[in-house]
Amino acid sequence: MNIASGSAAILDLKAELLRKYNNVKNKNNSEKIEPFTVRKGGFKVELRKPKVRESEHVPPADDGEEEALNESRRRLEEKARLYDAKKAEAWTEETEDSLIDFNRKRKLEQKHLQEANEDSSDSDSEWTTFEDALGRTRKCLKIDLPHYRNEDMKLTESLKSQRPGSQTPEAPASDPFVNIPLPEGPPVEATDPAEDPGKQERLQKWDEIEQQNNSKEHLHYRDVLFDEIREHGQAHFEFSRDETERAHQMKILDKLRDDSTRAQRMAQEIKKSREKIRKERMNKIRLRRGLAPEPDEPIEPTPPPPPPPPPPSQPSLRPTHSTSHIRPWDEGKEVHGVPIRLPPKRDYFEEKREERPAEFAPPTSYNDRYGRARSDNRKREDDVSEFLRNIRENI
Amino acid sequence: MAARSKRQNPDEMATLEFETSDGVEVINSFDSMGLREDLLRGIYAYGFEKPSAIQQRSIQPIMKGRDVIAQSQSGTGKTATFSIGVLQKIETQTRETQVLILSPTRELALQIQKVILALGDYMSVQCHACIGGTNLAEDIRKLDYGQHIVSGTPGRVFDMIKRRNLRTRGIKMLVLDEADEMLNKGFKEQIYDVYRYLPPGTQVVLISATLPHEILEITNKFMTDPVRILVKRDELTLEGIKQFFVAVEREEWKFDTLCDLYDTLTITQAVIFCNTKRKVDWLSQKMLEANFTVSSMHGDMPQKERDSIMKEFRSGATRVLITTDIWARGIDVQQVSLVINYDLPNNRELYIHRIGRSGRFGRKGVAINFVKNDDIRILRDIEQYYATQIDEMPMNVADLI
Repeated sequence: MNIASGSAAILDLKAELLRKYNNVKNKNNSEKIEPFTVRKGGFKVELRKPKVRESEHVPPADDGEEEALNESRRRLEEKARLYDAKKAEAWTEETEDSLIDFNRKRKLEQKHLQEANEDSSDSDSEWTTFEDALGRTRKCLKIDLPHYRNEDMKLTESLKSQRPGSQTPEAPASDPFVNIPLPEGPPVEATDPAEDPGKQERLQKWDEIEQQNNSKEHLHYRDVLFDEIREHGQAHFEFSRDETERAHQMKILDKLRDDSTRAQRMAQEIKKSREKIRKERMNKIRLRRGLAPEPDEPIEPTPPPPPPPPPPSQPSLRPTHSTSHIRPWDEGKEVHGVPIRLPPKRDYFEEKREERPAEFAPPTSYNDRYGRARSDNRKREDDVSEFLRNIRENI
Repeated sequence: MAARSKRQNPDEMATLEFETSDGVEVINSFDSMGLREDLLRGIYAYGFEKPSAIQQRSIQPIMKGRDVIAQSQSGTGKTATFSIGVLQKIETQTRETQVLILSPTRELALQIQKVILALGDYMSVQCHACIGGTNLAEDIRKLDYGQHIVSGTPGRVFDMIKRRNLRTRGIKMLVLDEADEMLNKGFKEQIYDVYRYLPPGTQVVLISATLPHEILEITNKFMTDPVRILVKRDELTLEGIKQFFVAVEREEWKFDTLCDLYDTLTITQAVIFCNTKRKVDWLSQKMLEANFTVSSMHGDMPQKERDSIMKEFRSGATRVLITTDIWARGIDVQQVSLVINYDLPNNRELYIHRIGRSGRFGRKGVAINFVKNDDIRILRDIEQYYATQIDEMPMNVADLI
């Protein structure tokens, strides 16, 4: 039947398609899980050499080591069994003679269980944090604080009596906090975080420096630096605070400096003499070939000599500005016994008269009484008449 | 008429513009400044390689004995500028006091002494910090021994001058650091008192990051034909210091914001500014109660305590400092990369100085302003005045430090 055969053909085709699909899928998958293949930029596939792990190179442990390992494992297991037994014992008998408080953990667990059973809607204010002897911040209920403090004290005591490096269940030797200074005295809840233990030490140190400075004749930078963090230049040298030591260091520095400047000068001279020799040789060759000798100026223009060092004497103390100006704040100060006087202020009215345009001046009939003003006005009139004459001539 | 308007009548001063003097020479290496060799060694050892813009322009006129008014952005080496000029002019053979440097705070005077001793490490220079709150007898003893340079605060310096322990006869230069503050109402009288004891015509050098017009106006009273090196106010903020604000609805929320920022504060070192001493005390107490390590400092503390707080902060033992405007000007701690204005400053100049505690000598810095609703206008005014940009704080602010 056509249809039947057709459907079979379709099924075949579908099966074929599925197989192809699977093939492709497998191919992709296999490519993905290929251990040393890296896809770059989504299209480039690159094979990398697998890195050989060092551990793979390590030869298998020989029999002796194997044995030791087994032995230690056996011992540990034995110890664990013993501890378990002790723990069970401690729980029933409450023995206090053991160095290890086997009960502690169980008590804690019980407490936690109780807490969990209690109403969990406790407000935050019932909780508090404290820092234990190992420097950890721990959170607990306020009512439990005395208990934890007590535990903490015990821990502190035990830490103190322990040899450094010996193991305790609470503080393994590898714990970095073991070495931090332990708080002394009864711990207070609201400790001032600003009070760090090093502070007193620092202040004392600075105080001592301060005291020394008072008795020193010469103060230097190092005396007033007080552990300040500051980036200095490459050439910065930490001088000693001791005056003789400092002088010695300065001498060495000066010597080094002199040496290097001398070396610089020497190098330059050598360079110059080499240049001279080269030139002479060159000239000889040129002479032999019948050429004129090399011109005198050097091929490479040498940099101009550095400006001469300033004279050790001070620059002129006389200010470059004119000294004719007298500062109002200097008035009354004495120079060679003579007090400084400011120049008398010009008369205000006179000043204003000068500024006044001529046409607003009083009538000329007044001028007889004011000699200066009259002459001024005459001058102005003269100016005006000359101006008018000029205009006429130009026309 | 134009010529007339340039005359310095008091009424007309307001229209007068102060500009950088013409023909200021620019010298772009320390080597070519003609400095003494032992000073050059100190400069390079301290860490300077190439002079900054202000150093290129100002050292020379100071050396030449000119009166100088120098302004430049925060953390660009102003202290070193005048210190180099001063050290170049000192005659170490005599023991007379030759230079007097006045600054508004004791901490700044101490810092200047330190810079001078650092730059003059290879010279045998004597520099004394003459500040209040210290032992008077000690001060007298040191001055009697002879100091080439005295860096101090006006009160104690004037006291020493009156007692004749600080002899002024040999003084040839007066430097006013943070000059605008020194010539402001609070200090001007004291500066005048000191100036009256100096030889007439003493060379005067004024230095600050901010030099408002009204300050420049009075300089002719004690300066002669000064060389001015000025910066326009729209160029006064540094690119390297990013400025942000956090808007809070209520004052109480500032505290929570600060706690949230604490981890960011301690990335390097941070300074938090409050406007009053009481608030500094309150805030540091509150931070300590919340278990955050902070230190605090203000002017009501005894000098000894102030000293140790400074040393702790400079040594990096403490990382967060809550303080007042006592810390706003001049103090240089290289590692400070974050400044918080818990309260906005009371004037525009203080804003520049406060944010300038971070981003020292080319380093990066961040300033965060806490603003209540009505404060935002003040901040916008500052932003506009200095033609700068203060954006809302982004989430990744820690990345900028």
